[in-house]
Amino acid sequence: MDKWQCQVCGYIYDPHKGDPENGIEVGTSFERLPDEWVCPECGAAKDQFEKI
Amino acid sequence: MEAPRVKEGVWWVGAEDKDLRIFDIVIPTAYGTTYNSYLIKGEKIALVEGVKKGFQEQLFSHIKRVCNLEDIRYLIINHTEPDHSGCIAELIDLVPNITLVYSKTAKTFVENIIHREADSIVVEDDEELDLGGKTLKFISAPFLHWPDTMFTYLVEDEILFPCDCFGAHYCGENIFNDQLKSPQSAFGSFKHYYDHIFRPFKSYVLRALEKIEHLKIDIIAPSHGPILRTDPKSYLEWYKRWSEFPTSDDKKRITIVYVSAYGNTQRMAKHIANGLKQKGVEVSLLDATQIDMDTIINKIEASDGIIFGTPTLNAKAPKPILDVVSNLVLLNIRGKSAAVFGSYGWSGEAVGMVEEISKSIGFRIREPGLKVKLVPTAQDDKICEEFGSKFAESLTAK
Repeated sequence: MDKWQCQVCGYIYDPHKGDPENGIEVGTSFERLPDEWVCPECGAAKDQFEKI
Repeated sequence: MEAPRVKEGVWWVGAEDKDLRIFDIVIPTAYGTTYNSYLIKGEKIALVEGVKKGFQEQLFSHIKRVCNLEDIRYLIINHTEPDHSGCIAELIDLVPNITLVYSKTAKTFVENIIHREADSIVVEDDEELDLGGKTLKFISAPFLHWPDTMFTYLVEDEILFPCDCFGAHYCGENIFNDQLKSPQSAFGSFKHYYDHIFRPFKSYVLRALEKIEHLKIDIIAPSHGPILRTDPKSYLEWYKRWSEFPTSDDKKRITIVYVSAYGNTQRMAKHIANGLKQKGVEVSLLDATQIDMDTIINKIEASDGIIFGTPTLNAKAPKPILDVVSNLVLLNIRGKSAAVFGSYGWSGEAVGMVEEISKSIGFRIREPGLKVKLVPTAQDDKICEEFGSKFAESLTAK
């Protein structure tokens, strides 16, 4: 599963870590993140992320 | 003010805004402010920070006491907020060969501010720029207080240019902290500035402080207020102390903020509090019409979550509850838990309204909103207790 990086602040979403503080389980691919999920660092929407 | 020399080859060339009384829509500034800009003269000349639009005449006239505008080779942009970047477009028009120096995130912001072409260099953490006799080192420092922020360190003179960090909205008679006539007012402004601008970013403050711990800092030259040339390290200590609070432990804390016209929403609040306490949660039960906003915000900051109690007035949540929501601008609440309850007469829209707002600003809604029609019964009291208990349990769940 690919990592995706926020183009606003540089935060990297790693599916192997998920985003548990915001209810996203370990192993959730970026594609399966809910549409309303935002960057936990800066609040940028999913469309501001790029695959790395 | 003239263009005072900060050190050999370094000048303050910024602008004063003595009459400013509100900054950034919501921050009172009883002492005005300054937009600090610095000229650094090596073999090449760099300008650190621009000024707000409308203040460039002061900037340009101060620069001209030291050099011609066209001699400026680099504009260092530590932060792109318009109180510093407002004049950049005009500066580029006057100095077309100027090179902008900034972080990767700053680049995208600047493009949407200046809407014109300019040469630029994107710098990363620890990168250096040699001006010939003056070396600038860049330190990535995001979210202090925008995603774009970085610090610049002048190596030979041991001057840190942290932009807004360690700044103050204070326009004194002199620019240096040891020459102020009212140092206590200036310090009050320094704390006020931290409280309004850096409070949501405590973890980023601590990260940056760790990064610069090893640096020899003779002078801190921020983008607003006094230049800190006497005892600069003490200001770092203040930021550290304020950012380490509140300390965290294993205890779960919840703040219930409510208002109540006839005691019905209050009765719900008390039973929800009981349900939380039964599960070992420490509860602050606050009537928003009785407790001052500072206390409410302090309690929320130290809590793992907040439960709003709101009646419905004309299909909306009443002002004191929305005032609390407005004041959350001072905090980082992402990841904190929330829920909403309230007594209502016939429609009860307020609970949904506050729940939607809470969700949209980053709270995790743990329990769906709880509404009771008019006066709660003993059965409703039990439901409220269970609501509190379930909320408490959710704090330890994933």
